[in-house]
Amino acid sequence: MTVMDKKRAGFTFEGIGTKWCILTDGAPLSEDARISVLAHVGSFNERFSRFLFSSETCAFRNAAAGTYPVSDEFAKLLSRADELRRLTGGRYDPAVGGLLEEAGYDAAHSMTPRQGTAQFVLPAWSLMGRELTIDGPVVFDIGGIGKGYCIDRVAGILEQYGHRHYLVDGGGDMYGTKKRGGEAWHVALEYPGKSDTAAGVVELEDQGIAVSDSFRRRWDTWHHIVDPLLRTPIERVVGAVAVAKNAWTADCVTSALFLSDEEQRPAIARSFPSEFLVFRGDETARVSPNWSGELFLSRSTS
Amino acid sequence: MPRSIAIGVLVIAVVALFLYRFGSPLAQSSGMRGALQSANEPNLQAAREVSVVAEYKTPKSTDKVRFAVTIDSNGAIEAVRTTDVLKGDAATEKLQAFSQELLVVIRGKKLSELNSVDRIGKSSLTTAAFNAALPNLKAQL
Repeated sequence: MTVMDKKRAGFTFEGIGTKWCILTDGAPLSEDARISVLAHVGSFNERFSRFLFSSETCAFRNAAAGTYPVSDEFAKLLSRADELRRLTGGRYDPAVGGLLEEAGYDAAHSMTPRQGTAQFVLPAWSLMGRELTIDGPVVFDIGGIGKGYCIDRVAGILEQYGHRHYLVDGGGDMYGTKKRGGEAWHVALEYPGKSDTAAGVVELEDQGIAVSDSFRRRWDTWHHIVDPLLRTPIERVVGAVAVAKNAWTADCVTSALFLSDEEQRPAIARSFPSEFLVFRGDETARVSPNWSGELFLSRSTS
Repeated sequence: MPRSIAIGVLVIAVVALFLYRFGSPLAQSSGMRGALQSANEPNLQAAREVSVVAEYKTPKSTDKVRFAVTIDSNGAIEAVRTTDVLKGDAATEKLQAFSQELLVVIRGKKLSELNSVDRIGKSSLTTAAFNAALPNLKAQL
C-alpha cells in the first residue's frame, strides 16, 4: 500500500468539471444510490455552471436592472456568497464571472484576455429572500463555494440510502464520516504546485475539507482566483486548506482565505469555525492555532 | 516593506534564534503533530515563556515588536504571541490576528513515502476543455 489503498477503488465519475470518487467502508454503493448521485451532480452542473448559458448563474447576463425571483437553492448559495462578500470586504463576489470571461476564462475557453478587464466594473447585486436585485447584466460564478455545497448534498444522498461510513471526494475537496471501526479517513494535502509532494496529512471524522491553489488553471498572466476590485489574480496567497464540520463550510473558508487580509481572519473564523492553513506567495505558511493535522515542516525555520 | 511582511520576517528570525539557542527543533505548535521530532532533543524540565524585543524599520519610522514564545517541556515551541511595544500591551486587532496564527515553512514529503492514505486533498484538476485551450494560447504567444 503506497499512496492510496488500491483495494478500495470506490465509485468514480466526472461531474461539474472534475473527477469524483466515493469510498465506502462496508457495503459498496447500491446501483440506486449511484444513479441518484449522478443525477444530482449532473443537475447541479446544469443549473449552476457558468459555462452553460441555460444555467441560473448565466440567466442574468443580458438582464436589465431590476428585481428577479431566483430558485431556493440559488438563493441559498447567493446568501452564503453575500456573507463571504461582507467578510472579505467585497473581494469574494460571485459577480466576478464577467471579469473571468473578459480575462478569457469563458465558455469557449478562449484563454485570451480582452482589453475589457481593465475597465471591468463589478455589477452590484443584493438578495432579499428569493428576490435578487441587480443594477444591470451580471454573470455569476459560484466557484469557491459551489463544489463544497454539492459534496455535502451527495453525502446527504448516501445517508438516504443507508450508508454511514463513506468519503466523498469531489475533485480534491471532501466530506468523510468515520470508518466502520470508528477510525478517521486519512487525507494527504497536496503541496501547492507540487503534485508529487504532500504538505501534510489530516484525519477526517464527520468533517469536510477543501483544498485550493492557484497553480492549476493558469493562462497568460491570469489564474482563476481573482480580486474583482483590483481586477487582478491573487498572488500573495498561493494555496489554502480548511477543515470544518462539512465540505461547504470548508470550501467557503478557503475562498475567504485567498481573498482576505490577515486582520479579516478573526471574523471569518467566527462565522465559519474551522482549522486552516494558508500558503503564501513568499513560501511561508500560516496555520490556525487549532490545527490538528500533521504538517511536514522545514527544520530550518519551524 | 509592508508591516505584515516585516513582522513575518521577524518571526522567522526569532524562531531561528530560539532553535539555535535551545538546540531543539520547533516541530509543532498548538497540537500540531510534529514530523520533525528528534530523538536527541533536550528534555527540558518545565514549560516556560521567554520574550524578546525586535526592531524593524518602516518607511516612516522604526517600530518595535515584542515576541513572547512559550516553550513546552519537550523544547517545542507551543505558542508565539506578539505585542506592539510602542503601543503597550493593548495589541492592535491586526497584531492579535497575526499572533493567532503560527508562521511555518513547510518542507513537504513525497506522496510515495506516505502509507495508509485514503485520498489526496488538492485543487481541482483542470478540465479537458481548459487543457485543450492551452496549446492555442501558447501558439498565440
